[in-house]
Formats: sequence, structure tokens, C-alpha cells
Amino acid sequence: MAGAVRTVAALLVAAGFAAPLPAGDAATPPAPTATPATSAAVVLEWSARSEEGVYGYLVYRSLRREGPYRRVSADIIHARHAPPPTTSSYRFTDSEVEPGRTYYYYLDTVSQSGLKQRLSGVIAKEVAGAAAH
Amino acid sequence: MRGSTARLWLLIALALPAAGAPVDERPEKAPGVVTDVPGALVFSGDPHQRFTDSYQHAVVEHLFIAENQGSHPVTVEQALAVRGSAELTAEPAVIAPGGQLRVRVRQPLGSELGDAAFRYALITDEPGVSRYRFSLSGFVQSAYDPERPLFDFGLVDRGRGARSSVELFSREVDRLELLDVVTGSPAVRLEASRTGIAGEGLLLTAVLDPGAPLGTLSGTATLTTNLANQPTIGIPFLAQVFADLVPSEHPVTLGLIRVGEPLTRDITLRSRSGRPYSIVHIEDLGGHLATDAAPCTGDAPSDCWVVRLVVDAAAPGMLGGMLRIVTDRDDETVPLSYGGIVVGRETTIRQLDLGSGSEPSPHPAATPPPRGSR
Repeated sequence: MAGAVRTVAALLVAAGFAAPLPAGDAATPPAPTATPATSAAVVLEWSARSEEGVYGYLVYRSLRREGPYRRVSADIIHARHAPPPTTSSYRFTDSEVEPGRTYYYYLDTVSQSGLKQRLSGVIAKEVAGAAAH
Repeated sequence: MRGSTARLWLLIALALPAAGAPVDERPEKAPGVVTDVPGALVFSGDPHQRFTDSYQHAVVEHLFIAENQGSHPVTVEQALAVRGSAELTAEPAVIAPGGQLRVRVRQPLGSELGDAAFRYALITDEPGVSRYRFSLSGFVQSAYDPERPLFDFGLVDRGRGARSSVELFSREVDRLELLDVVTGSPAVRLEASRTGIAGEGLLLTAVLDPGAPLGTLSGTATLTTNLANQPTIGIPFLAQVFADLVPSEHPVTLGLIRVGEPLTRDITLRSRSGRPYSIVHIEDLGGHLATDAAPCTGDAPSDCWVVRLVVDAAAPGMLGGMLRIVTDRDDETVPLSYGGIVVGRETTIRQLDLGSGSEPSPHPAATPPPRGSR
């Protein structure tokens, strides 16, 4: 197909945990520490070698590998179209996670014609810490 | 046109601002004409604005402001959408020198998808000044998967009816619910059931009534769902209902027709059963074509006839209509719709083949989720 998204080549390079949020500084008393889940996050990072025809990216999450998945990137993550051979690097932080649980993610591209297309395989990430009871 | 092989032909006609163009009282106000006479109205900021990422069927709004930097009042005669429909309100109608014009645009996005651009024009009473051009553009996304569902019944035998199904998902809600359906055709109804690994999606089946009339039946089923971001989705349906006689092309796409250059197209009408028949006459309900018919080989009656269509268009514009091919079979008059675009002698044409199928996979996914999991 002419003019299509042909050459998207993205690499999921890392999917790790963000460092816990700082407890506070000297001028600001630390917030209560009874809600450790709020300090957990999953960070997805990826890069794209070519983004011809790509408008952006979407991130999906599920509690089960087989799905169903929900979109967690409320906004489209816009492609930056770095000129070759530079790669465009992206980072998405999912803060709506709870310690002790495993989440599954994958990425779509959204083409400039508005069509979504699978970009990555499923990435499993376990959020460290004890589950809230 | 079958869904799997459908090809979308985008025809972009760039009208040249040519001398000898059709006579107009004010030729400078015609589309495509740009004069070197400066207008007094000057837009505040870029007259070509972008809207933020939006969903299909949303309405985007923008307020354009222009100032009359001339020494005479300017009267706005018309504020219009160049393509499609939009609501434009221009106030005041007469802008005094130094005064401000406010043009409010409400642009329904409809079923646009991807990069979208909407162009507008402002026509004033200024002699020699061409249209003021301004636009809104942006990106339109669909909250659904697939983004372009279609009920394609294909070729349907008269009296048999048909069914066509689509699995519809959205990854923007836990469970997609169907709240309302309007099919727009008494010959088509919709059935819905659950699908997906957790029943999160909808299996939609369009049912074509066995009593559907001969010919091309097309329309759009409009669905209302529980999606907050995009509660509306239109799903086109297409059926070609025929009996024994089947045309080689249906509907007939005449493509581009240039004024003054007659175009001829031959369509074959063949009997699937091999029974000979005769064409008695052909009615052109659109009134655009000259027609003729002859047996494919040998004498009439024959199981195959060639219907010749000749278009000799006089003026640019869209051309469309319907033929009724009357045969010696009492119960088989074949309807055949046709369409094309007529362009002027001097019009420059760019033709792009933009296949409308799904886009090719860039790379195999490492571990794709199971089928049905969206």
C-alpha cells in the first residue's frame, strides 16, 4: 500500500519502576506514609528508529496477560519524528498501580490516517512492595 | 466494490486560475482564484489554526478575529465552509475601519479519521480582492477497534437475504454497551451479542432482509454506545443484490471525466444460469449518459450483453445517477448506479491511489495478546 506506515521500528528498551517519590524536603513536612501505593509507578520506555507515517503512540494495560486491555495513556503520545539516524525516545509513567500486583502492557502506534496498530509485545511488570489489604 | 478489495481513490483537482474561466460577475471571488489586490481585513494570528486531538463525531470550535486595517468599511457577504459542513458566524456584517470581525466556527468532525483539514472562505464586497482563506486542522482519533468497520454483504442473491458481522471493541471502557441503533434502511437490521475474552466487545451482525430490492444497497448504521469520549460510531453497509443477471461492475465508477472529452465505458451483463435473454431498453434516471446494448457475441437473445455507456459532460461537478436495464424477463429489471467527477478542460489533476485496507504490520509483535483480547 502506497504511503502507508511501513517502517515503524520501535524497540521496547526498558520497563522498570520509577524511584519512590521523595518523602518531602526540609520546608515541607513529609506526607503520611500509610499510602505506599501512591509512590509506586511503572515506567515504560521505548524508542523508534523510523516513524514515517506515525502520528503517535498509545499505551494499554491489563491485570491479565490475555486481557482485556484498557488504554492508560489518556492523550496520544505524539511522535517526535527525529531525523535519521537519530532515534526518538519515549517514556510513559503509569502511576495508577498498586504495590504487589503484576500489570501487563503493550503499545500501539497511531498512524497519521488514524489507524491503530500493534507495536510491541506484552510486557509484564510486577510492582514491588506488599499488596494493600 | 468489495470491502476486502476496496480501493479509495482520492481525486484532488486543482483548479487553475485561468483566463477564459467561466464568466462571473466577480471572477476574483471564485474558488481557486488569488489576486494581487490586498484586502483590508487582516487576521489576528495565523488564519490556519490547529485544534487539539479530538474524537470522531465531536464538534470543534474556534474564534477567528480579523481587523479592518483599511480606510473604508468592509461588508462580509459570505462566510462558508469550502468542503463539508460547518457553522460559521461572522459578526458584524459591516466592519468599520479599525473595527474587528469575529468569525466563530463550529466544525463537526463527523467520521473524519486521522489528519483532517477544514477550509473556510470569507467573501467581502471589496472589488478585486479574492476570498480570504482560513482553516482548522488537527488529528481525529477513533475510540473504537476497528476504526473503520464495515458490513459488507457482497453479492447477494435476490430473495435470500444475507448477514455480515463485525466485532467491535473499545479499549477505552471495560465493557462496550450498545445503547441505540439506527440503520437508516428498512432492509437492514442489527443484532448484537457479546464477544471478547471477558465479553468486553460487541459482536454486531447486520441482517439484510430477503426482500431487499435489486441493485446496490448502501447506507450507514449509526450506533450509540456508552463511550464517554465517542458515543457515536457509524458503520457503513453495502450489498449488491442481484438475481440471475449480474453486471461486471457495480456500481459503475466512471472516474474522471473531462469536459469536452467523451468517455466510453462497456459493462457486461451476464446470466449466471446461462439462460439467454434480451435487453429491451435502458433508462438513465440520472440523465447524464447515452447508452447502447448489444449481445456479447452472435445474435440476441444471448446470455451475455454489453452495455455501452457514453458520457459527454458539459460542466464540471459531481455526476451520478442510476440506470434501469429493462430485459425481456418480467421479473428482472437490473438497476445499476454510476458516478464520476467532471472536471474542466484546463483543470490539473492529481490522482492518488490510497488503498483503504488495513495497514501492513511493521514488525511481528514479540508476544501478541490472544485473539479477542483488545
